[in-house]
Amino acid sequence: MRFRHLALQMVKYTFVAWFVISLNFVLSRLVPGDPLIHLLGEADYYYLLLAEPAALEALREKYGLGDPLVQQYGSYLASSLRGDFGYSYQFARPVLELVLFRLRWTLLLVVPAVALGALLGGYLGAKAGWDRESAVGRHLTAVFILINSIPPYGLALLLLSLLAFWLGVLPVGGMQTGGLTGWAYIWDIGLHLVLPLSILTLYKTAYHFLIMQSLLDCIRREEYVLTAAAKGLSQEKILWRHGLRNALLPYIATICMQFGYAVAGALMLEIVFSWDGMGTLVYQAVLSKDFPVLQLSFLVISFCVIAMNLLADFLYAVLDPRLRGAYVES
Amino acid sequence: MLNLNFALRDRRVGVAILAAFLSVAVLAPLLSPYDPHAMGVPYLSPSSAHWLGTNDIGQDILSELLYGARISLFIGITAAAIITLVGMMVGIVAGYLGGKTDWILMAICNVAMVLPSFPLAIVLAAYLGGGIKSLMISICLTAWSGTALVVRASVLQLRSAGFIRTLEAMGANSVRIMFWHIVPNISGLVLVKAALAVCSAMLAEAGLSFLGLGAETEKSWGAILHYAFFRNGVFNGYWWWYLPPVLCISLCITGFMLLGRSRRDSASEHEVRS
Amino acid sequence: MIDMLRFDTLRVAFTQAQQPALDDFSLVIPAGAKTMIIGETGSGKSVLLLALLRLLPASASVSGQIWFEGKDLQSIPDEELRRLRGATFSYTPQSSGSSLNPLLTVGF
Repeated sequence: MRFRHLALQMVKYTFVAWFVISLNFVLSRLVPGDPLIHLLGEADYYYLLLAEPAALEALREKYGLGDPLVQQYGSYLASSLRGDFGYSYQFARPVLELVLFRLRWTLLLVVPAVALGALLGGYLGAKAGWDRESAVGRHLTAVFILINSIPPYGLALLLLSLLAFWLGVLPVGGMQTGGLTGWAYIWDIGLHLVLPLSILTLYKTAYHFLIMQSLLDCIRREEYVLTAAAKGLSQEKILWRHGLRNALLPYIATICMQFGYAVAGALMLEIVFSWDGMGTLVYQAVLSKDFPVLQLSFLVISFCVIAMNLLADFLYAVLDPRLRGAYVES
Repeated sequence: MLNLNFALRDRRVGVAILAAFLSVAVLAPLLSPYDPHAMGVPYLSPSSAHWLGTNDIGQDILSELLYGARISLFIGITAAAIITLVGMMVGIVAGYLGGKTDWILMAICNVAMVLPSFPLAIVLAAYLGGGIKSLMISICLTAWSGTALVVRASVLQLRSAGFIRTLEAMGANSVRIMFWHIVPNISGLVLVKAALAVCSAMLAEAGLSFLGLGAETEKSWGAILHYAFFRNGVFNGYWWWYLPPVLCISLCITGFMLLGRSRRDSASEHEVRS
Repeated sequence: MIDMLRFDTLRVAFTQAQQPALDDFSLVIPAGAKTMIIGETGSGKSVLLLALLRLLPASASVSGQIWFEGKDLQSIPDEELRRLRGATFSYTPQSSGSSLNPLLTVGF
């Protein structure tokens, strides 16, 4: 029964994936201008126009731009399913390969930040949410809410100038100094990772703190908490055995579902720190109007978000005993 | 009881902050010492002639900042208004009419919630060429779904309250019920959501402008940051160029967040995402 | 006969309510006896029990004393009271649906 709900969610996600692919199609064919520009990106288009106009016409044939739209859509879907998202002349590799390569570096930033933020924020938020009277809790809440109002790249700029430029403590940007191997290479990347990772972790901690605090604030008003207290359990025991246990599943599910926002935040930070992940790729693509890269980046990020949402749904299906044997209305 | 006092005090502080920013925005032509578009000697440090120095093409940064308030606030507030209105209408119609309408609207809403909004905004803005209109579209396209869900939940609760059934029994038609009776009952919730919507709209606009997708000539605070960073303001240490816009954005968003403090408040209602 | 439990001019008021839930409530419960308190819904039975256990919500203000074995339960330290809860006195909730943790299983 519980897997029926999961199956329904999969249908929804498949629809979203199809929607993103179709949206990309619509954008590239129906926006005014020569569709070939939208398919190749401005840099490649003008390069080919000047250097190899014959290749340009051959590409026009290949994309079937003369064919009726429905046929174009069909072949677009087919090539998407094959994993053929075009070729970038700028970077001299298939677009898919380019994007996936950069994705790795973005994930190196996002995954540790989310994990650390979840642990730290969860711990602090549990303490703050459970003991409503604590002054520390109220101050932390205020601090984290304030942090959320500062744009991440804004804070990044300030810290970058302070720590890297004025104080010279950390590298100014990029991923590595170049020419290093082995442990020196790893250490070097680590140094470059410190600032962007810390800032992203800070924001994730703030976010997860507020989530956990709110969850526990709700849970501590539940009647079973009162029962536990009446039995003589200490506040600590109640927090761990009842509070966190009941908060854990929604907490993890929320973390998964917010993955998309974590990636968005990471994109902007990468740009400030010249970290060669998807953020800088997207920014360059925006500058040079490299539409294929933009579209595929959007698609790849959407897939990541869908995967995380699916994970959250899966966790619920498997771990929530309330869903066993019950059909849950979405 | 304590909660109420905090909420009221917070709202008042929020109003004060926003009143200050709004007056600056409106009075920008009177307050700014120079025309923000007038070019001059670039990269000047702060002096008595230019309190915040000049940017990469010699425009007075203080004037840019004052005029920037107009753009940032205009886009933020207008986008938030659209988001809130659309979200509210979708939520009310879905919650009240139920059935197939609800199903379709909720399906659309769910898709909008899963789509990563900021990457979508970037792609859209790139295709549509940047500028205020494309920013608006990009920001509003998926953001209404949050409001719609919350409003719908509220409407469903109201439906089970007796007075709606009484109205229906008296023969009031759907539209009348929805707008004359339901809307006033959810107005508190909607206003809070509206304040928070401004926060996320402003963050989104600042982010897109920082990427260079904002209006070319009319610079919002995010756009000022764009030039500050990409024209080497940061690496030359020109803190008077990049610190003020960050402060303005943060302060303004804090103001709106404080404005959205409601009585039965828990911190997670104030999550704001860029 | 020893007094086991004695309520002495107990007053419990909630900040939102116009009238106190309990006012000038005094009762002696002797040792070795079974005492039953009956009242209509809203008469304050649960409030009395929660006051005894010191588990009233933060919005409640309590005045008066509750004496148990010579100690005023309202003023003993938290840790001491916690040891008494469950072991010496407790309460059985009315409905199991909401008073037990929905995530834990019972029995099977």
